[in-house]
Amino acid sequence: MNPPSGNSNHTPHTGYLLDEANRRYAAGEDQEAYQLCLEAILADPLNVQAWRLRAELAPSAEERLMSLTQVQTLDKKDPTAELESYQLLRDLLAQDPYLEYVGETDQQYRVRDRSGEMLLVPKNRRITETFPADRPLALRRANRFFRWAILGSLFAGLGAVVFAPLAAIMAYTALRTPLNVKDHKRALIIMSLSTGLLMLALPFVFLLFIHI
Amino acid sequence: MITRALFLSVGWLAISLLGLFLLGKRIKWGHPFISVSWLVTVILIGDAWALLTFGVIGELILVSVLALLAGLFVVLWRNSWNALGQTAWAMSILTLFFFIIYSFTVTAFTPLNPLAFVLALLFFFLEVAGLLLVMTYLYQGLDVATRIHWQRRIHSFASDPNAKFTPAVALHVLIDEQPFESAAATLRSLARLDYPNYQVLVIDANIANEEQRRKIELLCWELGQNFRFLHLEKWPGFWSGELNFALAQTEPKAAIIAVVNAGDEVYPAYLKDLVPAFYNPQVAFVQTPLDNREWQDHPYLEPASNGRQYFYQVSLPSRNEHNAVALAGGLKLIRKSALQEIGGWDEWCLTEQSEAGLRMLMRGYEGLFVNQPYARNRVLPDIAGLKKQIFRSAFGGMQILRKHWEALMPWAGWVDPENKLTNTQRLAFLTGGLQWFTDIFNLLVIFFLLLGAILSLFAPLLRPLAGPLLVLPIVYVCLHLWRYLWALRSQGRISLLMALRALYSRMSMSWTAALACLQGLIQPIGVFLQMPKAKPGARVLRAFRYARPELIIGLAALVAGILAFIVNPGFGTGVLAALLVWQASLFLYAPLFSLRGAPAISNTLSGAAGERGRSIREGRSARWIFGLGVLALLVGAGIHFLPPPQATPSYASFQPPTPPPPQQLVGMQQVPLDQRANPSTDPGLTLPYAGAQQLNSAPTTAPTVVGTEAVNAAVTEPVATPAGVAVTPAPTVAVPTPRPPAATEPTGGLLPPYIPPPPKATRPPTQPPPTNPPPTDPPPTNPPPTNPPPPPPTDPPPTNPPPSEPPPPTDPPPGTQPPPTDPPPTQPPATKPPKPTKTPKPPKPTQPPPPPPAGADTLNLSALLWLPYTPIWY
Repeated sequence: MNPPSGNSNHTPHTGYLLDEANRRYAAGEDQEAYQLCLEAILADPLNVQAWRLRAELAPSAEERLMSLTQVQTLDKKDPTAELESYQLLRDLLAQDPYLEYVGETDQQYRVRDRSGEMLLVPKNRRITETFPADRPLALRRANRFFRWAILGSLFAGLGAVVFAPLAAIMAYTALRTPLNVKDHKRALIIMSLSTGLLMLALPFVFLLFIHI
Repeated sequence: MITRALFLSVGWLAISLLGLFLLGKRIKWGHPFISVSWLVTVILIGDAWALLTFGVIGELILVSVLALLAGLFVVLWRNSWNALGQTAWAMSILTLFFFIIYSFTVTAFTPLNPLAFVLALLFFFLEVAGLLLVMTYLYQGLDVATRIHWQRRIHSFASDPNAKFTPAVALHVLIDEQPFESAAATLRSLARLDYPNYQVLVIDANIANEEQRRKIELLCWELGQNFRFLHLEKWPGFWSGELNFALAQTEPKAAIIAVVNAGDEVYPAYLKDLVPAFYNPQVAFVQTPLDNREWQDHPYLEPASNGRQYFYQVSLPSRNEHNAVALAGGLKLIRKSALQEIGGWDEWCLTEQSEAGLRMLMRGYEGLFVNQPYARNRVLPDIAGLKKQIFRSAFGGMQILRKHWEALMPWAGWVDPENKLTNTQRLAFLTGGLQWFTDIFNLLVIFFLLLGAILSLFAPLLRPLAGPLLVLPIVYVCLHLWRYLWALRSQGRISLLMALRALYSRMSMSWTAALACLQGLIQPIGVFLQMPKAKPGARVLRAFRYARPELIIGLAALVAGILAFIVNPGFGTGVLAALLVWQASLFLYAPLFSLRGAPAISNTLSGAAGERGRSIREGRSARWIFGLGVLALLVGAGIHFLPPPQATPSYASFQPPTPPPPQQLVGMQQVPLDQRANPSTDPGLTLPYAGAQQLNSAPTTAPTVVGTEAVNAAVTEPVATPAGVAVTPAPTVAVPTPRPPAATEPTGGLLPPYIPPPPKATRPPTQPPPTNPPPTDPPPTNPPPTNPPPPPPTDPPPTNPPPSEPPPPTDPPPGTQPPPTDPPPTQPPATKPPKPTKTPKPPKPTQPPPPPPAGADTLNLSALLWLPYTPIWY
């Protein structure tokens, strides 16, 4: 299950369903409370209270774990959900410490136990930028030309004379597109460095010229 | 001036290094006054030496002031070093500075064809890069060996008032294909930890053996509630994937995570001593080395273990002082919240722990290195595993550079305000990553040496010894010896022989590290080294099979070096052979090392744990290196087909002057002060390769050519004085160019470059010796060293036109009027044949240009092949 995104669409109907579910749960009518809880989640999938109640009412440990994972995902500052899900999974794995990798999202792992039951395990860590980073096309090209310019400058500056202007042009092109602050600064740096590299390479090219 | 400045700075460097080797490690105190006094002493001693031998007073003062300023800057900047370290570092910087200028002027202004110039410049850049790498090692070595004040050195936190700070610790142990005994020893050692609050999470990362898995699971159950076992199936992301899941499965109340390799036997005080470091909320990780005392005297394990001690004893202590500790190897404790904040372990990088350490420092945390072992490694891999380990480390190092190079640049803080790295930290991580390229330079060095030896087999050509072929090998030999025999010994407290074995064990892995560097730069994802398979019982065969590339390279170097010396015995080939034998010994140690490790193979790792990704065979990964080598050969050969410069160009006058000869440097030959700066001793304009000898001599057969070009092309033959100084006689033609050319005079360099045999002067039997020279006409073979008299009219140099076909006497143009002591080039007397009673007869004017040495075709080809390298040294 993909993690819910966006804010909870808390409606009076959801509130009524949850109140009713809690009342039934307190009265010992667990099955009815569970059904009401599922309806509340259907009405508002981002409702933390609904997921928390479902974790308490879930008939299986796997479902409890999944519900707690959703609680953690929706409310990262909830310490009890993290502790409960940890203890739940620990109890599960104490019986059979086998987990098979199925997939993952930024928020949670999808694993399978030996019986084939799917489990969701929260990652509990910050999302990081992947490598190579996803940058605008013009900036990527500018970077690439700049690398070639540096490498090419070793050959009597010839590579810099060819690629540094291309890198600068690409960086300028990138600057004319909407960029975030970091990429904007990156484009400026590439443009400046390419110009500097070109200036630096020209004396070497001159030396090559006098050797011809 | 630059040549003399370079020599002077080399002299200062030698004096300061001498002091450093004698007392550098022992002096543990310092004062600015002492530092300045030692600095001035070194400068004055060097000045005195220069003044007595080759120095010019004005230049000495100027360069000395520069050295003093550089030294004072270092004294102020590195005030935590002792005086010997400060002065040695200042003089190293100064020498490098002068050498780069010197090398550049020679490279840029030596007459070369365009392709040769491009290659010469390329090698100049490589040479500078190689020397800058040397400087990074030198800095680290000085930083730990001569440091008198340690800002961040901590041995233990046991006596810390915060020792009662005992947060929950989660220990993550990854077990792959290790033998059960070693994994069990690790787990049992963790059960004995003297700490009240910890949990051990044992991750079985794809153990294929079901029985072994069950045994480990059972052991975890036996060891108590603190131990949890988890089997992860089909997990992606190398080890970091499993470590990330372990992070997700860490007890929520745990504040610190320890990553323990299966095979490490942890000492009970580990957590008790080190966890108090985390009382400081800024501390993100604590790194400790592994204990290697157990392996002393073992023929394989001791060098294998000591080989990696340089990192722990020199690199990490130095980096720790700048809060730039690399989280790699050994045992490490990590703050869980910091790890979660950076997003856990990177699953793209093969060295995920180093990468994570860098990211934690980027967020402003601190890392500590405690140089106190808290574990011993019970399992050292055999050479196959060692090669895999080094491949993985170097590959990961390149990945970190690729991923974070931008964060290590000076402008990184401006681009990303979240990047809290200081400039020193950036520099430390940048140089730490780039230091892997040392192995590539090692490989380049042996490639050049081999080529030089092969070429010298076909012609007595020592010219290839010039260039990086000579500078870098010697510097690198000295560097490696210095790193291990001095820097490591100063910290590691190991014997000289052990340090030498450690050096050999590490340097014999150069080939693997170089392969990994190249692969790390080009591969989009992590790959592992795949070693050849061998039969389990074939011990010797397997040992040699694992070290096959090193064996081939080592044997080739050995044979080439010995053959080169046998075929052409001499000083130059002797140096070449010595360097080759040294390099060969490094590579040939690998099979020996492998053989020594072979008995332990069955008990240790022959594979490498955690390597479940794409693998690449050693031979396949080497194809890039072979390809580059072949390309270099082809380009070098291509130079042969390009025409060399047709005349000595005017820009050649910017070349630096000839270095003083060794006799002058040691004071055996005195040159008056006022004549030391005389440009007449300068080498003149020379085409620095054998083929150019003909070219330089060619104008002698074309006497009718008149004008600047012809004059530039004209050459004069140097005359050797008894003291050994080659003095170029004044040209016999009016030369409008700044300096007179000299055909066979070297263009500079610290070693005598190749000088082809001079043309044989034909002495007719009827020609009497110069028994009665007139008093006003001294023999040209014995002129004053720096003030040569004009050659007598009866003793024309070989550039004169043939007497049988004298050109018509023409008056030189007014602007080209030679000095009165020089005979005009076209004067009729100069064209007269020498009198029989005069000084030795010059070569027959009608003879062809000076013949090249034996094997002329090969020689020329060889010389042209080496063309790119030659100017770098001169």
